Amino acid sequence: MDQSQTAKSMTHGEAGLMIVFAVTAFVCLFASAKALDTAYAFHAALACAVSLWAVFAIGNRYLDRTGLPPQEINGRPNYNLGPVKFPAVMAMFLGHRRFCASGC
Amino acid sequence: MIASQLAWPALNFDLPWTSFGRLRPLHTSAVIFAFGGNVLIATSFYVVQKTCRTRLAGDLAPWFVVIGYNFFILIAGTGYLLGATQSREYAEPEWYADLWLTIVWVTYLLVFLMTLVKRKEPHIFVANWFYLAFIVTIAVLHLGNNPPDRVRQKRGR
Repeated sequence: MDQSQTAKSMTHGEAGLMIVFAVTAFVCLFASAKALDTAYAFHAALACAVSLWAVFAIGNRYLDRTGLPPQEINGRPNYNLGPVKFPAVMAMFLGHRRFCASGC
Repeated sequence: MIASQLAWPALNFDLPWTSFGRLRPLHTSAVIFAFGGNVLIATSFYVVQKTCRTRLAGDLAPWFVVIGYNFFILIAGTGYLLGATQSREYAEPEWYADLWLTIVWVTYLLVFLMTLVKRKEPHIFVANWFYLAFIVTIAVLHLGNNPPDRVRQKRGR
């Protein structure tokens, strides 16, 4: 497997997700403005904010990176542990919040 | 706080979003979905990489799964407190949260399957079969338990 990083170009996933989240942000902004219920308006506003964040996060990630991460380094798998650590931390955080709220 | 409300109901301070009826399902769902779900996703992504000796499939897809799932937790949790639920045990979140979870879960299944496809080990470790069964089971449970009431009424259920 090639150990060097591949040439930089925007992937279909990056471009597609940026477009999808941009459209979602607009639709959610509209839904939030037109919602008849406070909870729905709040959730639509939340989805709008997160969608906007996703657009900028994906865009900044593309601008900062030099290429796609290699599949292997020196013949060993280049494991993707970011998506492992994030839910592990969230599980600990949310489990602790749950414990505090319930008291048992 | 929820446990104390059993002895001192006044501890809800007469606020609707701190009442026992809203906090109790928030507590149980936080255990099952927020804690248990995140643990299972984290361990499945770790185990499938190590036992297949390969990097997770996809570049953004694994991040979409873990952040998307936690956004579902945020929507579901605030939905409980605001009283926006379907009042169906363990399937309380409203239709838009259900729809979002379906998208996230299908992506999760695809990431897991494609990682298995590009494995460097000749056979699939048994742990991965169990994780695959868990992903499919939750998908069936979610799709079977969450159709809106109108769909159920049309089918006479």
